[in-house]
Amino acid sequence: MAAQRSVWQVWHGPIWKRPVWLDLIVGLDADAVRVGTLSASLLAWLWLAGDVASGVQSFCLSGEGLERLAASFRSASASGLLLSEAWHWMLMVTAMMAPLLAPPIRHVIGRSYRRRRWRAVAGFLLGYGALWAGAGISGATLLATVAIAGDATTQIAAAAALLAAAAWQLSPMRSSAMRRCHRTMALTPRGWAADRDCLHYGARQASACLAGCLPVMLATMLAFPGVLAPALVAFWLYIERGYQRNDRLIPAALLAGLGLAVAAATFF
Amino acid sequence: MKPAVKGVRIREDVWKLPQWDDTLLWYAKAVAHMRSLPLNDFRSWRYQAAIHEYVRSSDPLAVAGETLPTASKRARFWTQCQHGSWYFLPWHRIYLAFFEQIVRQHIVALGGSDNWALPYWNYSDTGPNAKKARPEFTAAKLPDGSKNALADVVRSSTTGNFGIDASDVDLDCLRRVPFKTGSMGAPAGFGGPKTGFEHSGGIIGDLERTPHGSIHMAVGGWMSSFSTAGLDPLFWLHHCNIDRLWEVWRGRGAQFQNPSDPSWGAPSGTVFGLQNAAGTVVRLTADKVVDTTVPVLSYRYEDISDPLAGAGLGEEDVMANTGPAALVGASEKPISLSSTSTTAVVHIDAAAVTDNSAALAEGEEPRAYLNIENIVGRNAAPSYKVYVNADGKTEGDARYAGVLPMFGLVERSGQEDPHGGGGLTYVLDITDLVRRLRQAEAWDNKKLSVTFVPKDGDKPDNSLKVGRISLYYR
Repeated sequence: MAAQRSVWQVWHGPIWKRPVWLDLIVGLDADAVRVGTLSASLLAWLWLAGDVASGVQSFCLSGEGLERLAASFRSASASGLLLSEAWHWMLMVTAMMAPLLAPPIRHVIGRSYRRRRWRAVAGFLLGYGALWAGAGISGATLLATVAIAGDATTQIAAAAALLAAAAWQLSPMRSSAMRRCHRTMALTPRGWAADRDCLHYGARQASACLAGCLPVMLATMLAFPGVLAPALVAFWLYIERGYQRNDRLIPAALLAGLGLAVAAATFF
Repeated sequence: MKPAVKGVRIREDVWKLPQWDDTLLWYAKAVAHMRSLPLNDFRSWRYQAAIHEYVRSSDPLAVAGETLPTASKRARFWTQCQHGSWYFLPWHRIYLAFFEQIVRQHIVALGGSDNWALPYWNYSDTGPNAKKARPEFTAAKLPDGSKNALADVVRSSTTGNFGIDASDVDLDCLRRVPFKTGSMGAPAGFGGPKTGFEHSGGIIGDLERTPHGSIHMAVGGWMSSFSTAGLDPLFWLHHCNIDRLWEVWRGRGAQFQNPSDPSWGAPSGTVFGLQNAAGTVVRLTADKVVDTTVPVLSYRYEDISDPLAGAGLGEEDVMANTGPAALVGASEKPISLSSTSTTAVVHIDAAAVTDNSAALAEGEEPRAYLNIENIVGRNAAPSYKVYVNADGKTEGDARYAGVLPMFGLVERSGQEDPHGGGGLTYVLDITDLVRRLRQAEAWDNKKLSVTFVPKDGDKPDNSLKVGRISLYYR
C-alpha cells in the first residue's frame, strides 16, 4: 500500500501551521507534463475569466444558468448558442481537470515508444475528452428538459445539487472513484491496439473523474457561477486527490450547509 | 542482551544470542502479555499489528462483540503502512521504534530489563542456520513450561525452515544508488519511488522487493498479507533487519545518500503521526529519523558492516541518473501466471533501440531494465523467479533475472487499494544478464523470452495476470 497520506496527517492542527501550500509547490515535478497541464489550465481559466468580464452568458459562467440553458434549447438559433455552451463546458473541464491529468499523461508517455508518444497522449486526451463531452451533452439535455418541463429555477436546482453533492461526498462509490483516479493500466505497445488502449485509458480516467468531481462541479456552476468558485473547488479537488484519502465529513458538511442556505434563500 | 550505552539500546543479531537469551525470553513474555490486552488498547499486540493494516474480515484473532477503537482513531492510526514509496524505510523505522519502546515498557513492568531492544534476523548471513527461524520461535513452550507466544502463529512451516533460498536473501539492492530514481521504466531505487503528492503507480523499490517481500512470502501464513503480517513476532525481527540494511547501505560510500529532494523531509514532506509508548502522538518527517541514536529512536545495531565489502563499487553498481529510460520492447497482451512455468515473448522494437542508442557514447552499452507491469490477482500467489532467454534451462544463475514476491498482490489488486487496483509493478535491472547473454551468443536483438517459475507457496488461481512485460534501455 503506497503512501496514504490522510488529510488528518497533514491538516491536523491550525491550517496556517501546515505547509500544504509549500508541498503544492515544492512537491511538484517541474517537467514538461506539469508545465503543459498547468499552462492549459491557466489559459482556460484566463479565457473563461475574459468571457465573464465581457459579459458572455452561459450555463457555466453566468447566473440563472438553468433558465439560460433552457432558453438555448428553445431558441431558433439554438446551434450557435449550444456550441457556445459546449465550448465553455470543455474550457471549464480543461481549467479544472488539466492539473489532475499530469500523472496519467506521464504514464502514457513513459509506457509508449518515443516515436508514438504524441499519438498516445492524443489518444488518451481524446478518450478523456469524449467522455466529458458526452457527460456535458447528456447532462445539459437532461437539465434543459427538466427546466423546460418543470419550470424549475436555477436556485432550486442549485440547492438540490449542493445537497446531492454533499450526500455523494459521503458515499463509498465516490471514495472508490477517487482511488480509481490513480489506477494505471498496461498499454499495448504498437498498432491500432495501442491507440485503442490509450483511448480506453483516457475514458477510464474520465469515468473516475466524472464520478469523483462532476456532482460538486455541477453544484458549483449552478450555485456560484463565474470563475472564482470553480477555481476554489478545483484547488480543493487537487489537494484531495493528491493526498489520496478523502476525508469526507468536512466537505460534505460544507456542501450541505451551502445547500440549506441556498434553499432557505429561495423559500424565505 | 547488551546494556544500553548512554540510553541508546543495542539491537543484536538474533542468531548470535545464546539459547533463550533474555532478549528472546522477555520478548516471548511481552508478546504473551500484549496478546491478552484488548484490541482498542494501543499497547496491545493486535493494535500494533493493525497500525500496519487492519481488515476486520481477515483478522484471525477477531473476537465477536469486542470493542474497536473509534472510527476516527482507526482512520488516523491504523492501516498506515507505506509501501511502494520512498517513505517505506522511514515509516517502518518509526513504526518499529515505537513498537520496541512499547514492548520494552511491558517488559519492565513484568520485571525485565530496560536494556531490551528488538533483535534482527540476518537471513543473508553465511551461517548454516541463517535462513531459518531461531528454535525459540517454534518451540511450543518456554523454559518454565508456559506457552510460547512466539510460536503461536500461522506460518508456512512449523519447523522454522521456510525453504528460504539464495534468491530470497539476495543483497544486490545494496549495490544500487540512488535512493530513488525519477524515470519511468527504470528501477525505483534502493529506497523506493517518490510518492506523496503524486504517485508512481505502485513500483516497488529494490530493498522492498528483495529481501523484504521475498521473506514475507517465504515465511508465509500471517506474514504473507499486509493485514496480518504484524501479528507474527518474526515480522518485527524481519523489519529490524530491513531497517539495519538501510544503515548498511548508507555506510557503503559517498554515493549512498538519502534523498536530497526537499519533498522527502521537513518542511514539505509527509508528516507521520504515530503513538509512542506514552500514547502521545509524535509527528515526524523522514529527515528526523535518519540518525537512529536520536532520543526519539534511541537504538543502534551491533553490526552494520558491509556484507559486500570487497565486491567493489564498479560502474555497474552505480546507477547514475544520466537520463530517462526509454521503452524498447514490450509484450503484446497480458500473461496469465500459473502453478507451472510460463514463458512469454517480448518483441524488441529496432527503431526504438536505434533511437535510444543516439544518446549513448561510442561503444557504450545501455543499461537494461525488465518491467513486469500491473500484476493483479484476487487471491494469494507464490513468488516467481524470472529467467530471460532460458530455453528451458531454469536452474542456476545463468539466465536468472530476479524474483517477484507477490507480497501485497491482493491488496494492490482490490478496489480498496489507493491506486485503484492497478496491481504490483516490478523493475529488474538485467544489464549484467544481457551482457552475459550477448557474450554467450544467447541474445536476440529482435525478441526475448521471459519465463516465470513459481516458488513454493500458495497455489495461484486463474486471476493472476501480468499486464505487460516491457524492456527499457538507458
